Amino acid sequence: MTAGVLPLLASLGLTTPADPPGSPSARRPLSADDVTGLLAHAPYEGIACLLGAAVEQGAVVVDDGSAAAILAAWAEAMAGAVQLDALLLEVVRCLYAAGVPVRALKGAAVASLDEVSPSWRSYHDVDVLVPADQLLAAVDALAAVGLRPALAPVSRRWAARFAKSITLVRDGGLQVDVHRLLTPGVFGARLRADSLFAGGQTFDVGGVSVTALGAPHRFLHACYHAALGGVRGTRHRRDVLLLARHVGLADVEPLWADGWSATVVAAALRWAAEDGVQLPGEWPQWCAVMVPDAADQALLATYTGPFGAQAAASVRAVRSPLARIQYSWPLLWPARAHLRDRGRSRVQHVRAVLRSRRLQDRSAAPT
Amino acid sequence: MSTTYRRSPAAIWRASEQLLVAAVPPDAPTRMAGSASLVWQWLARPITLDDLVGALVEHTGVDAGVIQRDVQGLLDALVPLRLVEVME
Repeated sequence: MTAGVLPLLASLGLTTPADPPGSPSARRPLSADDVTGLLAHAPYEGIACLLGAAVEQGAVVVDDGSAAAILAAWAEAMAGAVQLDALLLEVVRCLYAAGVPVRALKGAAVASLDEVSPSWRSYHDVDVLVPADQLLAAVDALAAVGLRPALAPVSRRWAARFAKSITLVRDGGLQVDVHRLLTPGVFGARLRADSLFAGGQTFDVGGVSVTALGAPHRFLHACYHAALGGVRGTRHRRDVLLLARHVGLADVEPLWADGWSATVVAAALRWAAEDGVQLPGEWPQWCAVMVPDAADQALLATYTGPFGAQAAASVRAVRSPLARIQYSWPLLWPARAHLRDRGRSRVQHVRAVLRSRRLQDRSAAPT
Repeated sequence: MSTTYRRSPAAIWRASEQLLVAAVPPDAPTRMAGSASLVWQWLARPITLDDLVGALVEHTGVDAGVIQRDVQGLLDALVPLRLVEVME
């Protein structure tokens, strides 16, 4: 789906925006059908905002009906962002009162700190990072503001030790992802999480200063999300490209020691550069000469398969037999609340796990 | 002393050239099209109605009477929503 959008955005200067963004000389006519097609893209693509910006910048020409449709979709996306920022503020205040340090991640932070204008970036949930050992404290504290887990964890102990995040929801549907790791599995566990709380960059939300990750960490996180996050689209690609403009190799190289994988970063940058998009700065040269680590490359492949493959890689990475059992057992035999939330009986769950295991064995078998 | 206006520091908002979406939590976002986002920019600091109208006349070249009426109407809408504060 992204393939059709990216060349258009690139031609409008919206993938790696110049200053000023867009090029009026490129004024490109878009038919009503083009506009309808673009607005039909999944919300995670973030097209409504970018198309609205393109119209406003004079980079595209549309008829009145299409202009009204784009404006309405853009206003809807902006209203969503305003509601989510209000929720972010509540979350930050609540965690601050509970003594839990917090960093804003992804949407709100990138919109405010990295986008040409915050109105160019849409997002659909709130993402925050808390210290790895305070996930449950954060989740328990946030119950006071009406946020409850969307899905009970397989076990609280497992979540506290191994989970990437717990998703909380509020009546009305707004969602908060409380992260203890930036990414699941081995790549997430390998990161020195406390380094993410050293420093940071602030932005204003309703007169309150909210702290995000620092720019190099935002860049690396955008790359990890693009390469490992599962769902990825135009918006994720744009995040990588925006941050690659401000963050150079010299900013990132000291951070490899904190467990970040150059192989993952290179994979994300190469993906972002597909369809003829030019990477900024020294990144094209770096991607050309960077030799991927074979073990990380193999690990990277597990992130594109079923969860079982990623979980198996996580188990293999755990050295102690006891810890392996502590990781695996709750996945096989989760808490009753987890099964209830998933609408599964215990037998159905065990069958599903075994089926996933068989599929994974089959896909790993030599052909 | 003249009455001054400013946007509420507690407002959470997004603006483009043609759109303004703003809310003071827990209120729901208000959406406005047209010149509201331009007025919103000028309301970042306390400003009198006369100064605001003068700035907009200079920026847009539109007749002062028309702008005065539009801006007063907009302020009358934004103040009850707590998006704009009135400072005597």
